[in-house]
Amino acid sequence: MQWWNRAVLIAACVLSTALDPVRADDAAIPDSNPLSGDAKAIKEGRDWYQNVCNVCHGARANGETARGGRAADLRIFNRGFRAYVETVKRGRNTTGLAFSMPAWGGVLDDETIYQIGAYLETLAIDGANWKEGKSASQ
Amino acid sequence: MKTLSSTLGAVALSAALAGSMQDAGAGVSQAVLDAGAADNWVHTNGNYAGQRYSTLTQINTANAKNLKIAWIYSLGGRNDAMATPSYYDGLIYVPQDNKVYAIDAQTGKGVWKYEYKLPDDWGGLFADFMAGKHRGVALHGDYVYFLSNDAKLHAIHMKTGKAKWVKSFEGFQAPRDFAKAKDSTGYLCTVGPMAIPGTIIVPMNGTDFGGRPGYVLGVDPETGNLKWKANMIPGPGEVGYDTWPEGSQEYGGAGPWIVGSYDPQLKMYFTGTANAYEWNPKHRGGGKMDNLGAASIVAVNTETGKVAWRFGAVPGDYLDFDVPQTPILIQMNGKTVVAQPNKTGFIHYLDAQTGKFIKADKFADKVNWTTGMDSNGRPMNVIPLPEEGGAKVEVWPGLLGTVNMYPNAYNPTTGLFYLSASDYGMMYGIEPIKVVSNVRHLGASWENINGPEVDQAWNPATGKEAWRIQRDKPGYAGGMLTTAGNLTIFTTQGGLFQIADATTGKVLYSMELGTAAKAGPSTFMVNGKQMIVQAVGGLPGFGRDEQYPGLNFGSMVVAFELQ
Repeated sequence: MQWWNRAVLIAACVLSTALDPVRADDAAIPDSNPLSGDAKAIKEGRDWYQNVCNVCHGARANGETARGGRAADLRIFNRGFRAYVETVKRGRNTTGLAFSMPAWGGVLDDETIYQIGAYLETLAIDGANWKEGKSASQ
Repeated sequence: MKTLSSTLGAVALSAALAGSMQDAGAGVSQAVLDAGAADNWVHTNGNYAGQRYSTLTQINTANAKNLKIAWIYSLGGRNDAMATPSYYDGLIYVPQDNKVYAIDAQTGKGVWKYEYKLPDDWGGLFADFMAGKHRGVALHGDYVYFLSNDAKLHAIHMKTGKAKWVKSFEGFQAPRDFAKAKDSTGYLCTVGPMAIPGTIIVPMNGTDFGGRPGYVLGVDPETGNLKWKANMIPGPGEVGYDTWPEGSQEYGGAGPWIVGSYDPQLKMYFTGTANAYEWNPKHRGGGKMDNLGAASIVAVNTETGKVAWRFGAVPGDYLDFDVPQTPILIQMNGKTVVAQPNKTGFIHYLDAQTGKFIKADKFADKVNWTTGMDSNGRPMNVIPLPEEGGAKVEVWPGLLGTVNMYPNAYNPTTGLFYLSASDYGMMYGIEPIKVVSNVRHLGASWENINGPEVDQAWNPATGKEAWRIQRDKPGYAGGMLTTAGNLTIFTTQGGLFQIADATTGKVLYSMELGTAAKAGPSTFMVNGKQMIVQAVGGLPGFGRDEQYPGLNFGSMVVAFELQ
C-alpha cells in the first residue's frame, strides 16, 4: 500500500473511533454490579451523581427535579443492574413528557456508570432491586 | 430571509408619515421607546428604568374589583411561560418555545406565529431545562426582536410575522448535544433583548453551560450587524482584571441573564451578572479572589460598548449567590440610583453614574451568609467555604434567592418596591468538579429548605417593609406590575392572579388561573380600554411540586378588562 494510502486509512480509523461513542456490547453487562460495596467506587459514584444526575433526579435521588414534574425515584429502582446500565447508556424517551433522559453512553464510560450504580445502591429503600439481571426491554 | 416588497412599501410609507428616530422613523419610534408604559408596553420591564410601572389610571383602587377575563389564548408551550407580554398598536407579542405569537389584543385571536427550530445538534448539559423559556421581546421601528435559545437574534416584522434577518454572532455558539459533541459549551439565552433608539441590546449568557464568559452586545436594528460587545469579566487593563487567576476568565461565566435597564442621560445600560463558574471556586481563587464582573452589577456605555463600572456584590462567591436581577433605576435624594433587589436577601443601592455603593437594605427575613455590608458594600463575615465532598452547611437564603428572575417593580408614586420574594434556605455542599464534553461541572450540590412565598412591598427611603402578603406555600410570584392607579398586580406561584392596593396591600381582586405562574403581567390601552395581560403556565419545580397537589402544567395568556 502506498504510504499516503496507509496514512489516509489510519486517519480514517482514528477519526471514526473518535466520532463513534464507545458503547459496550449489552451482552457484556454483568448481572450485578461488580463494584457493589466498594468504598472508593461509592465515593466516586457519589461525586459523579452530584455533578450530573442530581439536577433531574434530585440531591437525594428521590426524583424531585429542579425543572418541575418528576424524574424517576432512584431509591426504589427495581429493574436490576442490567436495566440500570442500559437505561443510563441509551436514555429514555418517555412519551407525554416535555423532557427525556439523555443518553449518557457516549460520555460516561462503563466504570463511571458502575460507580454511580454502587452509590445509588447505598440509597436503596424498601422495594429496590439492583441484583437481578433483567433486561430493560422485558 | 425574504424581502417583501409590500413590507418595504409599508415601511417607506410609515417612515414618511411618522416618527423622529434617526435611523427608522416608523412604528415604535424614539418617542414611543422614551414614553415608557402607558398606551403601549414596548419594553419587557415597562420602561427604560426597568420599573414595570404604568402611568395608566383607568383601572384603579375604586374599580379593580369589577375586573373580568376578556379572553384566554393558549400558547401550547412545553416549558414554563416566562415572558412579559409586549404590546404596540393592537398586537400583543409573546415568545414561547422558540416561537413568537402575535395576538389581537381586542379579540384574543392569534394573528401570526413565527416558528424557529433549534439546530439538530442542540443540547448542552442542562439545555433541556431552559429550552423554550424566554423572558420577552424588544420592539423597535417595525420589528419584533427575538432572541432564540441558541443565541440568535431574529428581526420579525410586526404585522406579517416574517423575519427580515436571523443573526448569529461569532464567538457565541449554542450548546451542542453533550452526548455527541466533544465540546458542548455554549451560550443559552433565555432573556430578551432591550431596544433603545438606534440599538438593540442583546444579553449573551453562557453561565452554567460550560462557563462561557458573559457579554452584552449592541446590535444595529436595521442590519443586525454587531456595533459593540461589552465583556462582563474585566479584560487586561480594566479594573478587576487581577481579581481572576490567569486563564480562568475563559470559563468564567458571569452571564447577564436578565433584561436590564437604561438611562438615556447617562447613556448607560445596567445589568446584573450571574455567578463565576464553576460554583466550586477552586479554579478561580478558592473564594479568596474577588472575581469582579461575576455576581456583579455592571454598567455599559451604550455609545462605545465599554464597561463604565462594575460593582462586585458577592466577591469570590461560592454559594451561587449571583445577582442576575434587573438593576432598577430610581431617584433618591435628587440622584439617579441603581437599586437591585437580588438573591442575597439585600437590595443594593449604587450611584448610577459611578457605581459607588450607597447602602444595602436587608429585605429577607433570615440571612446567615453574611452579617451585613461594610461602607464599601463588601459583605462581612461570609459563611466559610464548605469542604469539598464534605458535609453540607445550612445557608439562608437558599441559592434560588430571596428574589430570583421573577421581575420586581417600583412605583414612583407610592415610592415602594414590589418584590416577588421567598424566604427559604438551603443545605449546600461543595463537590469535586467533573467534566463532561468539555463542560466543567458545577462542583456543588444543594437541597431546599422550603419557606413561604412573600409578596412584599419595600420602602427604599426608610429601608423598611411597607406590607406583605405571605402565602402558606413555597415559591415565588411570577413577577410584579404596578400602576399609577395605585395598583400592584401579580400571580402567585400557585396560580392565583391578584390585584392589591399598592399603598396598603389590601387585595381588591382575585382569580384562580389554575397553573403555576413564572412571569409578570403587563398593561396597556386597547381602543380606549385598559387591559391587563398575564402569561401563565408551568410547574413550581425545585422540589416544590408536592406542596401544590392538583396544580398541573398549563400554557396560556389571560387578558383582563373592566366589566
